[in-house]
Amino acid sequence: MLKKIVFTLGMFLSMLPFTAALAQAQDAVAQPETLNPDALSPGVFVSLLNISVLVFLGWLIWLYFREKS
Amino acid sequence: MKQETTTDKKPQKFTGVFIISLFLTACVGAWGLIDSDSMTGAFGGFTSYMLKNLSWYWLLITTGLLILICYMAFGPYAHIRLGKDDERPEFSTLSWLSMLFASGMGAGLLFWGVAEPISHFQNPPGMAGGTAQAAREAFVITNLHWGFHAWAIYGMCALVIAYFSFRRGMAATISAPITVLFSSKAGKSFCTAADVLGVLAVVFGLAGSLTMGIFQISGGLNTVFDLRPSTALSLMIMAALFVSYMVSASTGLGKGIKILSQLNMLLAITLLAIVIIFGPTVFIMETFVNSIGEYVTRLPEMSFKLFPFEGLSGWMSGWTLTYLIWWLAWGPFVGVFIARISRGRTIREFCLGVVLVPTLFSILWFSAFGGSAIYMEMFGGGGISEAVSADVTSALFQFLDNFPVGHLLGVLACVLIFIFLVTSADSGTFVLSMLTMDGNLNPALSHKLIWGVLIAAITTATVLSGSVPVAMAMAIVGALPFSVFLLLQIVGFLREIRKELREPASENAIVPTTSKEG
Repeated sequence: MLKKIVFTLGMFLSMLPFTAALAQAQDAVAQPETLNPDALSPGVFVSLLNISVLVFLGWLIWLYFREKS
Repeated sequence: MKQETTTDKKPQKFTGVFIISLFLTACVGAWGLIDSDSMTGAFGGFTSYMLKNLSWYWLLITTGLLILICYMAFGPYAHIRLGKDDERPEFSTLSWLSMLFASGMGAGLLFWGVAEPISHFQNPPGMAGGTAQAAREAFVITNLHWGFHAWAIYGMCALVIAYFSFRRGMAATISAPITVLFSSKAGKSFCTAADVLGVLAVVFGLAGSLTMGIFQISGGLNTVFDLRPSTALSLMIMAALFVSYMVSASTGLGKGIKILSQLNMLLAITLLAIVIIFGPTVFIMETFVNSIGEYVTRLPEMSFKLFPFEGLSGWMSGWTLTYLIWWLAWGPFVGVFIARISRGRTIREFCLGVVLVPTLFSILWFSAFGGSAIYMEMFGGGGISEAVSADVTSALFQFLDNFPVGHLLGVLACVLIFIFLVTSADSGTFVLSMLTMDGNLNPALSHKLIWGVLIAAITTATVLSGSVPVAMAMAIVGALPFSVFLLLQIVGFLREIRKELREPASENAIVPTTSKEG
């Protein structure tokens, strides 16, 4: 069981660099002079927060179905 | 995997959960009493940030809970009994409904009964206020906030705990359903965190809600007896409340809460009957029937509506999401309490009783109070909108002044709010003691008294802020992190109940819970 938790946590943590990168990319897209950065991107932390929540919901679905697979 | 049952170990008086949550609550209480502005500011900021930036998540999970409870009521698990197969309910249906209703949202209905429909009538989202369309929208929105979603949240919180506690013989704690997902040592720490966050959600939820009730009684005393609202008056109400709920808590579940809940239902129905009889009766009944139709018709659309294109995210955070998270905050508290009083009922009976009956009562309540107030605005002398705008806490009393013996009704409303607050605080101390004593169904009096004192300290700190929005922020702050554990509880529950249908009955033998029930 411990292995499973470590594996799951690892999966969860491994998502963080992706989310950070995605959020930074999103910020970069928001930088052009013609756009107001605040209007397009809510910021790195907010993007990370939202994506983490999405990952968490996905993890819950995996927790429910993992016995069947 | 071996499940931990209540019979496996001796009940502990001072558990890890008790010590950690007591320490954290005492720290927050001390912070609030030393620097009330700093505490309420920090909590308000956190709440507003989470509402603004995760709006989709809150609406999605609460709507998900509503869909899930419908599945539980009509799906393949509906016949499963929350207890042994031959067990029958401990409380009569009337006592059961009155207790769950009084603990769930009694005082809130009095606070918002007039104020909320009038607020939406004045300023509906995305349309002009003061029109017939705005009046219809006001009831749809109000019923969305107080209807199926609220009771589905409570119902699912309660169902999970009741199933594991009475069907599986596990401790009646927040973490019990999560232990089936994580049984390792790391999992145990995770479960302790779940219990501690559940306790904090209850403490803050209660403190915020009690503060709002105290403000309203203060507003009522101002209207009825011309006592000017002040911090001193609020603190005196708090002191009277503290003494009352401590006395009630010391008498036990079968006396204090039960008697007060039934008295409350009687007084609430009397007040409702007076408003229906002496108010615009036909208009109220038409509003009631019309509201049911419009609410049910618009429910699927409203359950997923976040107004992203209208730029109304501020409105959404301030109203709908605040309510939904408020119910989540009260989830562990009302959930554990409803679970405790629902032993012996089938899942279908439980779900329909918990979701349908209180929702219908809420719709009737808002049709009577909000309907009469809107009638006065549209076809009568008006004045209620101004009262709501000026002081939301005294709106109910300004409204009751329009009825014969309005002052007497104002006194009755003050008494009713007070008793609702006593029952909420009493059942809150009961639940906190249960949660921090390994799910002991008859917790020690000393624990109830300790939690009673801590709730009073945090409520006093919130009262010192003197602000309704701060009280609301306080009420929901604990629910934000707790939602993660609630979802884990539900996954644990769904996995276990699925097994019950799949595997032979002998493998799901019910473990008796004798050691803790006295």
